[in-house]
Amino acid sequence: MNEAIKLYFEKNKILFFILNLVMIIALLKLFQMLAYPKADFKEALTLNNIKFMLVGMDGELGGLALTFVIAIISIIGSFIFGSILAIARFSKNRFINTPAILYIELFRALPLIMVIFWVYFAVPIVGGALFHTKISASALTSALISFTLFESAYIAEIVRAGLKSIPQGQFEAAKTLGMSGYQTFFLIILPQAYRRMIPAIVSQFVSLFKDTSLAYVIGVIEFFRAATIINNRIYQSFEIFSFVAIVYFICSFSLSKIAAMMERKVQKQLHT
Amino acid sequence: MNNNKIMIKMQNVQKYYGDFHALRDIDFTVKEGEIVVICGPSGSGKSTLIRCINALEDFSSGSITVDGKDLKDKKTDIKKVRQEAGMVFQHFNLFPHKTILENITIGPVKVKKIPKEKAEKKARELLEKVKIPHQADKYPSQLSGGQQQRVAIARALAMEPKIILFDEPTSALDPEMIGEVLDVMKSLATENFTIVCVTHEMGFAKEVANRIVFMSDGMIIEENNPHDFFNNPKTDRAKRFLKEILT
Repeated sequence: MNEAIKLYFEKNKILFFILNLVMIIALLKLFQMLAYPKADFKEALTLNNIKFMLVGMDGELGGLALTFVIAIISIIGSFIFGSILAIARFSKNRFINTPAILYIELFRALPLIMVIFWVYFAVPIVGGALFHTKISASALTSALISFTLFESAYIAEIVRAGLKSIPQGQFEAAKTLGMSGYQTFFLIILPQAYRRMIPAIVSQFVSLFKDTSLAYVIGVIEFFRAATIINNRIYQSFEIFSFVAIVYFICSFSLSKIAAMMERKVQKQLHT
Repeated sequence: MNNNKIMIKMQNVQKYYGDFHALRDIDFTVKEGEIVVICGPSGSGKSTLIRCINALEDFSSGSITVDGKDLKDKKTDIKKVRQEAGMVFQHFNLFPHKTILENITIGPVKVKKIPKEKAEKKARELLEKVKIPHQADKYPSQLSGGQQQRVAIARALAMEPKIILFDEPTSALDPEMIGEVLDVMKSLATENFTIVCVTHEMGFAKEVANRIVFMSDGMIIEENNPHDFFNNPKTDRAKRFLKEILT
């Protein structure tokens, strides 16, 4: 029985997603009607407000859409930079691996919100001192840089774990065919490591997706800040933040499910 | 097998793992076309010896020459030596993210720079030879252990090596799959490959080996032709080993 429900759920994911959203909004509406006396009542989840929270103002990307854009750009950036860090850390040359280790350890020991503030306030100062010109980064750019710098440290550790998980026999088999170290690494080891890492990277993406809400402190109008803007205007905090919580949950939960699905697929192929 | 060209020559090879003396005073020669089986109790250094031949293991002193190339010589390109000495491992070590065909062609295409179509044609012939012609587009995880090991043999053959090193090729297989791998190995024995094989398959040794090398505690204790080795071994250590393994 349980299996049958699961199967049905798997097959109709998008349908369920929309259905859930509609049901939740309906429930909130019902609560609203019961909880507030008519006179005080200001509609919080109007079509306009929801639209503002999900896609931002007309002609300007914001809200949940911007949250996704930030998360996707940052994860791609940190995937590339994190891979370079991991490969550097994997190197046996001390002059290459030490800076990578320092970077990774430093950023893993800092709170993300501090990194966001630091990039936002320090980049113009440091940049100005270095290049003697006024360098300013917009809030959005600062946020993207912060997330990329921060996440790279974590992605690097995921990549490193992936590289370490490749059995010694794979190196030996590649060497035995006469491959160079470079060929062994880029044709045999790294592709396998990436396949094994997909689930961990997706869960890192989910965590990044939630963490983008911190960009609100420097004024990026992503989903969370969009919600606070509406709240500051009409003070229907309960509905607004319930809506925010539910949307975050649905997005994160679906992504986690996708990650789990990918993991099963990958396991199947790599398990020899 | 009539010529006397020496393919592998090990002289006074010593190998230490820390304080552990893994190979002691190894003098060992294999001629072109010869089939040598190395046997002995576990931990006796058989695998270490065979892995020294294609430089998967370093050795502490002495010299190893493979097809005239000195492994310790800085001018020797180890990658070239490895191309001439293919290896088949106990645990197959196929590349799980590549299809069977890609596993076989990756060496020729990427290392020897042979055109892809040509390499694939050759790969399919090799799959025919190891009797799994219909699995080319599958992934290693979809094959049985015996089939995987035969792919590993095809992968080694694709590099057109002169020497094939087998490191306990049947030890990780279920009993019913050992035969199919041994059959392929026997068919190779009739071609002009130089084969060095570490194995516990004494039946195989009796049938195809020209020479048996018995090792214990990092030393070569006895070298003999199969008939004499099995019927009247010279040393007590070999007698004890045979008694244990044949009962």
